Amino acid sequence: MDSERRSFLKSAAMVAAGSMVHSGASLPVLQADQGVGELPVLDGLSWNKAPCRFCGTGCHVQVGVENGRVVAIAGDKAADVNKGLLCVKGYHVGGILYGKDRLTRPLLRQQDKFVEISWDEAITIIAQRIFESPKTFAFYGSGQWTIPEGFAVQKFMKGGLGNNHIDPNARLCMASAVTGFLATYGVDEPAGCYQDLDECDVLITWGNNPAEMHPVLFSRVTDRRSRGETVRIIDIGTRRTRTTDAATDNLEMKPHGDVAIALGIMHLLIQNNTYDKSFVEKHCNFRGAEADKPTLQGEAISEEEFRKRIAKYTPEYVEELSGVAAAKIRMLGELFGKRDIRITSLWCMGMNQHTMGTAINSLVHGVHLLSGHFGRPGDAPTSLTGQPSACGTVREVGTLAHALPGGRVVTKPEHRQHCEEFWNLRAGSISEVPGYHTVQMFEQFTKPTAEGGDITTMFVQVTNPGQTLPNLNALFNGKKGLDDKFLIVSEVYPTATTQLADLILPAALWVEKNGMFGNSERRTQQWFKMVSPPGEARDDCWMTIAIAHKLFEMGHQGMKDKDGNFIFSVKDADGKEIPIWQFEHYYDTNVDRHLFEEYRLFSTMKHKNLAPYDEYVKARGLRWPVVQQNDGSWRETRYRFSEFDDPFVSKGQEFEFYHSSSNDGRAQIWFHDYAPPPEVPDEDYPMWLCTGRVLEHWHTGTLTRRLAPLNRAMPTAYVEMHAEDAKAANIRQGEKVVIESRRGTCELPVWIDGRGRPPRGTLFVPFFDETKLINNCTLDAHDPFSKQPDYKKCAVRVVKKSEVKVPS
Amino acid sequence: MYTLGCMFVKPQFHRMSSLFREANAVPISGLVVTFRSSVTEHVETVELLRDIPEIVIGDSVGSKLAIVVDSETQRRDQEIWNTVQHLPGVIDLAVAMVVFDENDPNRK
Ligand code: SF4
Repeated sequence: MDSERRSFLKSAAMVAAGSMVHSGASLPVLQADQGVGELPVLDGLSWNKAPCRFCGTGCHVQVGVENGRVVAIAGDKAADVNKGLLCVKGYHVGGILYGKDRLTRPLLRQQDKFVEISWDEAITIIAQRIFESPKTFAFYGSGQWTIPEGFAVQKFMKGGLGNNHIDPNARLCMASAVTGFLATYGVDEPAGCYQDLDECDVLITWGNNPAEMHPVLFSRVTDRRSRGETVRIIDIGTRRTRTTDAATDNLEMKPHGDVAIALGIMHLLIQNNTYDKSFVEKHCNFRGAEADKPTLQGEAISEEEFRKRIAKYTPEYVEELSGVAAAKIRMLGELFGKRDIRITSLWCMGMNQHTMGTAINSLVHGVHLLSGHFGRPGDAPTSLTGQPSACGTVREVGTLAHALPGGRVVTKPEHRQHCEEFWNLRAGSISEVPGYHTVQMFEQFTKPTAEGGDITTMFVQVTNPGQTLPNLNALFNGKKGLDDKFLIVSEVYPTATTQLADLILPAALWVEKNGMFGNSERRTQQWFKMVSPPGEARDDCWMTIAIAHKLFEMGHQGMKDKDGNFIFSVKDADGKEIPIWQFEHYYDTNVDRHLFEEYRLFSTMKHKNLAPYDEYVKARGLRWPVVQQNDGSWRETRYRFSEFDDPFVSKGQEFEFYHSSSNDGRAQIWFHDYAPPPEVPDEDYPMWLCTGRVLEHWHTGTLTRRLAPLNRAMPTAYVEMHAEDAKAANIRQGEKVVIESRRGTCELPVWIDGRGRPPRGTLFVPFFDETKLINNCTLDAHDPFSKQPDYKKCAVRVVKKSEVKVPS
Repeated sequence: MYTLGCMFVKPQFHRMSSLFREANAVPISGLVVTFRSSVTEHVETVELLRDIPEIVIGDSVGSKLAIVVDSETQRRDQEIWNTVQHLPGVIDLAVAMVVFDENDPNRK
């Protein structure tokens, strides 16, 4: 770069940083064009908006493109989510496109080699396998699917093939949040929004480390403190983290202690008569699980019955169960009993990856409902998501084995009928039987066909189950040697999953394609393709449509609608079909717009109304329900169920839960008894293992491990260990040890008093490092409702590498 | 990192087209340093920042200070980032803008 250009860009960077500083206390939301206006204007350099490709926070970036290449990234000042700021991952997001080893050609495994094949050959191979056995085909995706990509797969699988074996890896990260919302409000997703972080007096992080996992959101709180505001942060967790460092109070609990703590708070609210009687009387019911066959619906119980059941959860009993001192439980009870403060609860994987995931999610909602800390800015129970579109694509489009778009489920005839009508399909096209959830899907895929393993072909898009599934030896590596099983993987880089693939498809990534995401606060975001993908890499959505069309050509009846047209048919203004299944014509039209406009029809049943596509082009995302005003404009909703903001709440109600599972406009306050974890340390495996993430890497590290600065900052996974445990086992800092569980092993260096500090008897290992697969050790026990596995607790032992017994 | 290279019939992935340049360039970044209290109460830390030759100090308002980092190598960039994050009184470091392809050999 010449020095003139460099100095120009330096001053542009200073202007950008300076304007963030000058924007002052409130970091005001600017008009869309103002954000762009302050970015450097150079010949050939163009700027456009996109959401960050990483976490569910959904920060917006401005992407600078020059000569067909992404050359700069700036925080988008016009974005309400991040107000121009980015974390270290977002700052490097442009580089994810340019790793040296991008996949660029379709590759077919032939014995121990991959051979390059054409796209036509690849699509034909896939279509033939599906045509021959459509019911033994499964599609596995993630919350990294864009909304149109997920919608296309839904239509292809459930509408076209009549096959519900589609599930996302979001099953592994937020399924328990979904069941918690459904059980409590009758409808999924948070009622509040990120504004709660700007207005709360108390922030409680339940098994959550937003300082590392959602850093921009957490900085909204630390930013308030730096301006002199008092925000009390209470960190409840099984180890100390960077969030603990910023916390006012740290409540270190035993695994599963969160369930006891939530019950303890409710006990105190009732016992001290400090619950919000008026809110509960007007807006809540009490509910308990059925004794025989528990369901998400549960059974109604009286307030008296609830009082009886909660009576035993005294602070002393909770201390026994959770390890948190009774005095601290009383402190929480007192805080929730106050009406003059605002309390926000935040959680993510700690409460979701839990064999009592649905229960603890429901209980924390219950704490907020019982205390009336609900529905006002700053008073909110809020779950966060790890993936950029876990909400938009998985929860709203419904890419889960039991779900249909817009909050529908396959088991309800009227819901299937709606979808068949929207899609113009023959009645009965959609199967009423839920497909396999993630753990079942991989069990069936890795079980020999002769033994009943009835998934024979699996297509994996936008995710890396070879690294993220629990108990990998059973659920993924079991595929080795099963010759009749065929794994198709669409990816951008080689991964643990491509290691066992039979066919690899090179995928376009992020701004190499059009896209839409939905973040953790119900915000739907849109971006346009800005650069071309490398080599022959192509859009995942195109792959789905091309396979569907190949099946259509082969005569598969499901790929035709009622009128005999291709189910993904797109016509031009003259009514002539555009052959979008041919990649050279895929961008002759905006396929995302067509798919989104079709999907939008599904969104009103559960009052998750979406605006037309073009409204999202103009905005930095809009939070649903988005409702058209009398003047024709579209208005988003920050607070659902609250009369002051939600247009669907009846006048005079103040709050209304209009999808209540008891059909009376009320939310459910649940009682669930505490139950111990499914596996606890014993003589053979005396330590707890908890797994998770780190600031520098995003999930399995496929993208961030290719960014040299991030990889250098955090080059390897490690095991965090308490100094006393290390001393007792004669283990030194940095020494290699082997973690062993009943399911597998993993070799790691030890980090004593590292970034996170687990208590005695507990280990923590991050899962981003594909050379150190900790999921060999984790447990596939899962929540009975959400089917989400528990990655946060299982029993292991630590063996010095020099003392590992080599099997004879 | 996993590699499929050894299994290729044709070593397709080693070819570097113009679109395949590595994302390891040295960035110029505009950053916002947030201090625990007003910047004026952290004069010593600001002096420490000023002593780092790659850093240009910009405006400050309240507890926030604008800086630009322009370093020669990625390693140095990372070192600076780590140093700034751990300076006394610094509670947050956020990015406002980054330009990251300066060492692109194909750029004019
Ligand atoms: S907080 Fe999440 S969305 Fe925001 S910049 Fe960082 S990784 Fe991206």
